[in-house]
Amino acid sequence: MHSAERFTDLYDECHPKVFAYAVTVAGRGLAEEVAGETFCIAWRRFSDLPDPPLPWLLGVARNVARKNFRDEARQESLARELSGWAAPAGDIGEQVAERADLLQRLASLSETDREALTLIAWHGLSAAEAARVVGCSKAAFFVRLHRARKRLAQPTAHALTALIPEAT
Amino acid sequence: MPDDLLQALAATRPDLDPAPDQARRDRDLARALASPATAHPARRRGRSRWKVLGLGVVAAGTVVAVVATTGTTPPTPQSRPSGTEAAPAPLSAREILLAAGASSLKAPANEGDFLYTHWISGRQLSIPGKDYLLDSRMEQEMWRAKEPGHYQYMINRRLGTTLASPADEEAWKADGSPRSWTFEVPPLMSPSGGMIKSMDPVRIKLEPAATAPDVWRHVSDFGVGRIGSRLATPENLAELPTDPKALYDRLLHELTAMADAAPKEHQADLAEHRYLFSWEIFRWGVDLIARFPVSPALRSAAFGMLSYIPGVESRGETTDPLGRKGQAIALTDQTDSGSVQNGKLIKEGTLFDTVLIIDPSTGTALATVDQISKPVWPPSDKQGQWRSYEIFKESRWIPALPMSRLKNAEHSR
Repeated sequence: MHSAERFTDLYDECHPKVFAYAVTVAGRGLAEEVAGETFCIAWRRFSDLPDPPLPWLLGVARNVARKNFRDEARQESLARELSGWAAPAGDIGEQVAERADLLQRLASLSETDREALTLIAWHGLSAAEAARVVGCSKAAFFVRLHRARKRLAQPTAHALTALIPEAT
Repeated sequence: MPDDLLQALAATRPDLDPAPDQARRDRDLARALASPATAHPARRRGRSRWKVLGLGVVAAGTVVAVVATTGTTPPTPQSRPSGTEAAPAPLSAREILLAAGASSLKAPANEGDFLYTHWISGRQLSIPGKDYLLDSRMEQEMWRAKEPGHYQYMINRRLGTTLASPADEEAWKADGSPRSWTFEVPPLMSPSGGMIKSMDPVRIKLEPAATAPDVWRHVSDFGVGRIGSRLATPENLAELPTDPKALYDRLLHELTAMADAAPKEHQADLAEHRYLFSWEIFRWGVDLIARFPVSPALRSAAFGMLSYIPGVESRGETTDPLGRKGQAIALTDQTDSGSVQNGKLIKEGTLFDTVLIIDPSTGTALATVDQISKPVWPPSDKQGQWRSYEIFKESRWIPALPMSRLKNAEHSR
């Protein structure tokens, strides 16, 4: 199969995951551009992509989000995204309330903490893969994840006051 | 902390998935495939932060004219010239590049509403247990409108997979002229020696050239590439310095700024990878010389700029993948020290030198080739062998689109 075809297959398989990740680091407003640029870079390096490619792609998306957009623009887009998660959906059933509470707490965490948690829980990566995305050792990632879990588990009264994540 | 916290969190995942959008898919694919695929100089699994740095730059150039000829040793395309034979003192990379820059000034500046770019991308493959190489090529043409909002067009035509040279064909015949090959791929291993994933066998076959090309069109901005953090629009390109050293300094400064802007946690790591700056700047230079719509002064500067990059050297006369004679200017792989991961030096993966083949007499780039400097796998790979390459045919402004060739363009594949 020619490389352009293999690349198209890669795009079809991985674009939804790259897009979903981009939403969590840059908000829906910028996610399409982040994902598009990520695949441009992936094609330029196509002959050297690691296997599996997803952690590498997410690492590229992470850098694209941080470097191709002004920090304020990304944070603003992300804040809009987070407030969307944290807003209760109207239904006040117990499960829904619990879910909304957890999302609020997640939204209140620092970007570093939230990233560690969502790479595992939402994007389905192993700790080793997540470490590759953020560019640290597996051991360092475990430490980061442990701390983030601890902070997520803390009851919070300030969930809604801290929607703007701290800069990392 | 409850162990099921992450599970509970997983259950809260909001809808993050993109809506199916064929137009976006077409746009993304066309935009990505518009640039050439190239090999990274060193394989560093999972080391991704450099991947965003790779874009083009320009140089300026006043130049010294030098006659670039060589002696009588005709190196094969895939071997480094031997240094043991008596020959005129070889010209330095800077002399050759400055000569090329001077010649390039003679090219007329050209005008038009559409940028036409024509190239051939290719790849050579060795097969375990065999002593011949295969060569697979695709011819690509692209038309980009200067004004936004117009269709951009691309024609891709597969040129097939064949034996790489007459000598390879002889060896292939001696092997019984097989038409396909299958070989096992060892499992992917982690640096610590654990198996990450088993791999499917690779199957390769000879293929004839495609009879009909694929013709695509899409709407987008002037997506010719990027210079540093900016799009390589004619306006942005016009702002680059046209002195070679000033151009080099500008590019280096930009890379340094991008690296310094990286998160603090990566700073130490980035310092270990500064040698990759040379590779990035070299790529930018090639973009300016052969791909981007630049003025003759800027193209000339880009030639000279390459000579300021640490690790750039002349490899003497060579031939490009079309058999055209030229001078090989190589960026030697500087990753011999390996890459640092988790505090350990990792040496793994095939390493490549990046070779630009130029014709100093006309001031044009003929081709760029990734040449294996450290073969790893497949075991049939040899030092000096080509991996992927790009042959530059044309890049110029034209007044109008050749609609007779483009009228059946597919909006999707």
